[in-house]
Amino acid sequence: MQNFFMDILFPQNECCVCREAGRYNTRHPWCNQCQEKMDNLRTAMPTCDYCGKYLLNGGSRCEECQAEKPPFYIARAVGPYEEPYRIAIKVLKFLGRRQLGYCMGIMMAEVVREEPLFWPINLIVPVPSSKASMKQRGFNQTEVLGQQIGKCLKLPINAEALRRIKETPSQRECTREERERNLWRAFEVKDKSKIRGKSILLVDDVYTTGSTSRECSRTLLDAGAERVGVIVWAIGTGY
Amino acid sequence: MERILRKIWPPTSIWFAAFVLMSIICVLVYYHIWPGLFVILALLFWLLFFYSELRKPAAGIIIFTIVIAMYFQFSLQPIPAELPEKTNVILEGRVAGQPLVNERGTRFVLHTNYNDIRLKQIQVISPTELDIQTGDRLRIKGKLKAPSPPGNPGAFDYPRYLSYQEIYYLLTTKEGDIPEIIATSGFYQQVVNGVKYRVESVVKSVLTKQQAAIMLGMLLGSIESIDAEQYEDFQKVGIVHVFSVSGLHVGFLILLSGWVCSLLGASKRIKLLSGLILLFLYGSLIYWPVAVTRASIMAALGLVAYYYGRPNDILNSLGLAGIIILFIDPYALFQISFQLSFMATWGLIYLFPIIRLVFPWQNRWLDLALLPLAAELAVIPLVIYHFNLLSVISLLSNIIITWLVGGAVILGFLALLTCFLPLIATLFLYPAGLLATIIIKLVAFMVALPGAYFWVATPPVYIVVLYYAGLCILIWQIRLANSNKIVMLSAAAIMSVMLVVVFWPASWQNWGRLEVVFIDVGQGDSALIKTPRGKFILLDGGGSDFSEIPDRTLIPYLRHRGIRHVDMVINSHPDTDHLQGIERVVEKFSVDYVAVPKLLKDSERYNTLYQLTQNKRIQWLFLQGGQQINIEPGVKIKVLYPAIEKQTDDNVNNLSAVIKVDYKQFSLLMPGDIEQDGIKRLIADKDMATIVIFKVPHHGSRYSLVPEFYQLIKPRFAVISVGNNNFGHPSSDVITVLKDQGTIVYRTDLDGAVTFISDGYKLQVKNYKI
Repeated sequence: MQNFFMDILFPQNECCVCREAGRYNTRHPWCNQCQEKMDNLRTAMPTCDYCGKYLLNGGSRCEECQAEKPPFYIARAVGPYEEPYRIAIKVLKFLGRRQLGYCMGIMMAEVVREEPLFWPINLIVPVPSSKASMKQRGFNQTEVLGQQIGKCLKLPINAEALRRIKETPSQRECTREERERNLWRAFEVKDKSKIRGKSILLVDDVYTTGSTSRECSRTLLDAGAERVGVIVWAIGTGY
Repeated sequence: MERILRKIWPPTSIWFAAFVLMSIICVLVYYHIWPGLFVILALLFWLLFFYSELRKPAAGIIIFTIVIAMYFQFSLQPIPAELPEKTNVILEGRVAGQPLVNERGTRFVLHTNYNDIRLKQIQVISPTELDIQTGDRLRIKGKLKAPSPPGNPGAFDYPRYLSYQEIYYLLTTKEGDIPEIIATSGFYQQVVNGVKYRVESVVKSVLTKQQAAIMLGMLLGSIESIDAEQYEDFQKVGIVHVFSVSGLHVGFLILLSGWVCSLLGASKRIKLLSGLILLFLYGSLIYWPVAVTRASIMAALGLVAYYYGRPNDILNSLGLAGIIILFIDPYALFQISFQLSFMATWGLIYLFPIIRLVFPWQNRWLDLALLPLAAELAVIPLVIYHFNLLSVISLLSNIIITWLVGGAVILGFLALLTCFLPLIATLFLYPAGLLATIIIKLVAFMVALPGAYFWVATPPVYIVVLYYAGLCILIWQIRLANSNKIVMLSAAAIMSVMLVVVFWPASWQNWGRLEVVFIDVGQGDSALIKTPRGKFILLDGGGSDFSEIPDRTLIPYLRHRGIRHVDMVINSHPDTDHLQGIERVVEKFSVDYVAVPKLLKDSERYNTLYQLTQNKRIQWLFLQGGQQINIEPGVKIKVLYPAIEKQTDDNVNNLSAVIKVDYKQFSLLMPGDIEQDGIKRLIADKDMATIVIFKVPHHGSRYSLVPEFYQLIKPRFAVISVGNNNFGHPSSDVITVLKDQGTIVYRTDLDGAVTFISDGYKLQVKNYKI
């Protein structure tokens, strides 16, 4: 409803990814060319069976998953962390275009629906954002995505289940080791009773090294979750 | 088809398009141009059919606009035909807007709750300084009168102006009558009034009178304390918009609130709310003038878009603001401030980026110069149409002065926020006052530059429409990748038609024909003569001891015609109702000759006129009976009276210069204010021939009636130049005598300006009010 009125009040006059002029709205936020690019990228490369990472050399497992099985049992993404996907998530996060969550959420839900390994799912939990970015952006993008996924898959969502207890610096320019050190014990489960024995779908925006997803999954599993699956918007490439 | 349409109008800015459509429909409905409305609707359905992009939202917009048009049609009340004068009327109502109080009295709008459309809103004029506040409920007694329509072409149409506010009656109270305050305003209004009063008193106590007037104008948009001359200077320099508080102020408020919120570490929601509240408070502080309403709506939309992470297209929010304002008050469309505010904003946000495309290189300095150009291109026809002013310097002045104004406004706002801590407020106000002084000095300097501004004639409405059509074609061509040079040039040519029209010399109009215009100057005399070869002679100029009547009648008429140079001004005798206008013309126009009667030339009433002509190259002529001035071949001005040797009378009226103008078979007699004695002396001296046009002496006074004189001259037409007065002018006896002998009588109070155009044999008469 809100999106409907907002579309009328503030019509979107350009594609939010490539800025091509045209008439767009919440249901159709980017142009057909961008959509096509996204679709092509999705199946361009093989992915890791466990973490869903795109593998440049082919195969069915990434190096990391071969070395150590991740705490979650499966992670999947809509597409690789490349041009249209990367811009879309940046527009959502940094320009605050919350309405993009609608389309992106649907696309993510579609991935979950089509992957039988995810099921059954009892609860959706988004990765919490730091207080600083919450204040700056006014919303948590993973929560927006999670809500849309919940709506599509008719699943309950609990955005308060996980809580960030350590303010971490931006992860973007850190190496893998630094990220893991930063994130060590960064999350906490507030109310374990709501988690215990449940099969959880963790929602995140981007999966590059997987540190955040791993740490969150670990925290949830420690709190008694039965198992954790991860759905992200875009995922990195690796070997 | 669709591809062509897409090129002409890319499917963007839907709200702006809807706003334009709505304005057009409003105008068509208002003037009952039903075929036009039909064409527009047909065009819309056609667009809908061919333009698939448009189909969904356009359908909504069409329904929307039709609904609006219907709403507009129903919300428009027909202007009441019958507006009889009523005395001793007692009305009750609430004071709306800010009462204007000055030494001349008080003016305000009273909102009553009567069912009678004519009494819903009343403009009250009281000669006393009243102590009333916005929102007070009053019981007031006075005389109800319809405002008088303009008497001259180009004069300000006061009844129409009021009818746009749905006001049809003026209520004038007697001197000393104080309305009874039934209830004071509500709490919120009282707080607002209190804050406003506080701000005004602080500013006035700290700054000099001149600085304070300018500062309050820029801060609160209250221009009543600004000197009229100074205000005109601001107009001439093209920066009068600084007093119509708008984008700059609102933008600054939002910035300030955002900055303070970030400093306090507030969340996005708090930022949104504080911004909206601040906008609302500031708007109510200055009673929501159109420009501020527009800027506030745009800013509020911007804030909401920011909060919800929506793309904010400024052109769209401009359209939305327009639609909201028109919804609240459809008449706003006809207000000058609405037109100027929206056109200037459109120029800045739409025209500016397109004009930039014309230049192959881009840098910040160029942008700085292009911004005022864009705004100017968008508003030039409106300014010319409404104010007869073409300001060239505005392209320069806006670059420089906007920064100064910005600084002064920021400091002023800080003072406004701290007005309850006078010490801190003073700290901000001193530099603000300094900036105000610099602005005043700069304006004075720029006005004096040669070619800074031009007074131009009023163009017809279709020329204005043509200009905008040309502008639209030009924009379209610039936006096209392969623009057509010929189309662009012809569009520019269409636009420059307006310049040709407004600069077309007034003296070339009606070339080869003599023109005499009796201008409606209220109670007073004024006649403009244009000779067949384009010389202008002004005989008297009207005037009043109580108000600057020539500024509202004579001067606008001359400006309207595009007259910048008057060859000769003649004053028949130095009474205010003849002389004041002459003084104003000598002050404001270039004049070659000033003629006054020789017998009265030492009158001290001419002192002002002598002073005004001192530093100008103006030749003085002293008129006495028997003189003849050959203006140009065929046109003679004869002075019939008074002969110099017969000075026996000390009544100034009887010493009025009596002037006769001859052109082939055409003749005009202007006897000034001459009375019976003078007329008798005049006919004793001279053999009077018949006259074609005769100005009835002394505004039709009974004491100037000499029936034998009228039988002698047997005028074909007689004009009585008269207005509202307590002297019983014009006397019915005079009119009867004239009508009995077959003279056609015109009165400027009933007929408005009366124009006679003659080629020397045939005569054409036009009266402005029919």
